[in-house]
Amino acid sequence: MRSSLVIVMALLFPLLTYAADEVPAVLSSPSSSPDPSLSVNGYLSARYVYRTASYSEGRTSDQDLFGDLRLDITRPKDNRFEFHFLGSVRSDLDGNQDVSAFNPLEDVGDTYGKRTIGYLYEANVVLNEPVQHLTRVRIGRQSGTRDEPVFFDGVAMDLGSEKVNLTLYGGAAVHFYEVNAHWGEDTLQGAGFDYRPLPATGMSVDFLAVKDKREFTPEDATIYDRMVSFKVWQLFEPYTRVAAKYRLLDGEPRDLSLKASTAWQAANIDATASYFRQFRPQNELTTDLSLYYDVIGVSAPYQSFDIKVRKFFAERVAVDLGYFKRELLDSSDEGPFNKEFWRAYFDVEVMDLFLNNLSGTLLLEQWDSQGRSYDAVGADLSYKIKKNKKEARISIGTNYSLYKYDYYTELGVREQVRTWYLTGKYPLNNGFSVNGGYEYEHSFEKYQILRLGMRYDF
Amino acid sequence: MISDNSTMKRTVAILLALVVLGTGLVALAAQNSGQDARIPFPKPGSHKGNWLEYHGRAVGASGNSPGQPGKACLTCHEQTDCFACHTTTMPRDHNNTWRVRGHGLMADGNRERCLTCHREDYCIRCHSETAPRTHTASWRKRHCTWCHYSGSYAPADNCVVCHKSAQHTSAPHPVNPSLNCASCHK
Repeated sequence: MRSSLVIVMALLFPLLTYAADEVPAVLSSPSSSPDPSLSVNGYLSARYVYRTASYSEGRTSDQDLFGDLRLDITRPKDNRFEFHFLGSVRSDLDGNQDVSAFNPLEDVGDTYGKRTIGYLYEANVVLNEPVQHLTRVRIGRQSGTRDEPVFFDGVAMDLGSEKVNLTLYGGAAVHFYEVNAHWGEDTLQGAGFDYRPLPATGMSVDFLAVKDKREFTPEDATIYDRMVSFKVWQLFEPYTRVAAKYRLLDGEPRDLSLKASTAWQAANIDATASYFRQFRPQNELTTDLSLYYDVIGVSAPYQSFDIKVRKFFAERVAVDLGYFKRELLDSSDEGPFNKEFWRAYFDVEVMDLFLNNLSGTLLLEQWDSQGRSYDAVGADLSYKIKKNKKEARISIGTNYSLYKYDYYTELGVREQVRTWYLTGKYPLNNGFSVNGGYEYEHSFEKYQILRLGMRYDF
Repeated sequence: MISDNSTMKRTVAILLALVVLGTGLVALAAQNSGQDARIPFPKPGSHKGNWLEYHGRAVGASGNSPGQPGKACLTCHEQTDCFACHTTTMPRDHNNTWRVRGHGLMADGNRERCLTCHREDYCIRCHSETAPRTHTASWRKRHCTWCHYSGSYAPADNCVVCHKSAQHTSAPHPVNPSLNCASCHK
């Protein structure tokens, strides 16, 4: 079934060709009323990836082939319908699917017990204003219908006008990685209501119900969750926005988030401040809403503060300051998977440093957790070449990562990772481009990654 | 290495499909050589420097959530652009060492950040089908003290991430790493 996505992608080829034939042509028949021309945008990319890892017990390698297809088909003249598609295929070329022992190259993007695996993220038809007051109908696999990031196969409808909007949606919930998933066993339904009394003022109420049949552990059963959320927002011209959102889960307060963002264009500064508070412990929930209970247990109540400021100097220098703090509402809840910490950082990026298109970034950060403090420094250097409008680009650089707070003390999850990379992209004619890259990551293990790919943007 | 006829055929089928797609798109490109670019005007001034790393805050500032005005991003970008990029491109800090050793740090510290992209099934699938780095060939002999020794680096919580249905959830007696567990526990 997974590999059938490849076939779907291949079958879409005639559609592309058809669409291409119609752009920008117009039917010559004098009796044809609407302009039938289609606008086709998207990309097709394929890339070969070769990875090696050298570690204490030996050396291993992996070869994969990736393919992505993105399609957005619209009718610019009357905008009556749209079609959107996004699919991805990954094939493990060398077939190493042994999961019984640690392999440093294993990741969640692996093909598991198969040679090929595919994900269909979007495949939907949109009907715009099929009837009066029904502003949009979206049918098929979709996401981004409302705030909650859920994927489903079903129908979503928007009804209303400029000031009032009602969204109704529902269908089979899509869980891309669920073990033993059967299509249709998990479902979701939702509704959202938006009201804008003034152009710069709005409020929303959302309801989302999810049914999730779980088979992860012997005690798993079917779980039902119902989430209700309230949101208000206000825009202050020209660039200031404040928003508040309050969510209830299964009849109990879940969380509150407050956010304010602004920009001072004359001073070339933008700033964001946000606050989040989780009111109650979060235990087992549906896959769509869970805070990873099945992996790392209960999420204890906490609050967090996040402040970020960015300023440009003379168009060439950008300075960022940030501070994030997470604190538990009850400090006795602190444990391996419920932490208190804060992080402060400062980074400066200089563009056209010594040479045109040479940019350098320096990052200084400090972490503090459980009374222990850690400092880290990171740096990045990149150079781009743009010639003859071809916009060929080559980037060479290095960056440094330090995984900070080692609460397992002597085990030492502090890592010092130095990565060197060389990437390039060269555009050919008519939207085609080839790209490649090499990356060397130096830590306890040594990783090398070679990527060779092509992409066609249309 | 697993190499059988069916998997080989599947790989060949994928390659053929990509070749067919590629060939077709070459033809398509040839026909559309004069077509306008997707974004017909220069990028906004904000899209400079390491913009990709900071665009998230601007999304909120411009009011791009469903049912909200502004939608400045959607002037040029499709709504599906967010998913297209976030599903195929990882954040910069997600390097190999992060994947093998570091990602748990962020998960325990800021689950909401992970939730931006990852659902729980993502974690469970990987944790249930891949062995952690400690599980090397000699792991069976070492796992008692790793999980139960009361020293500084023996968090049983780590073990129960995967082993929820283990027959014992705590050590039956104090563990002394100087002893050979296998002498009694066959």
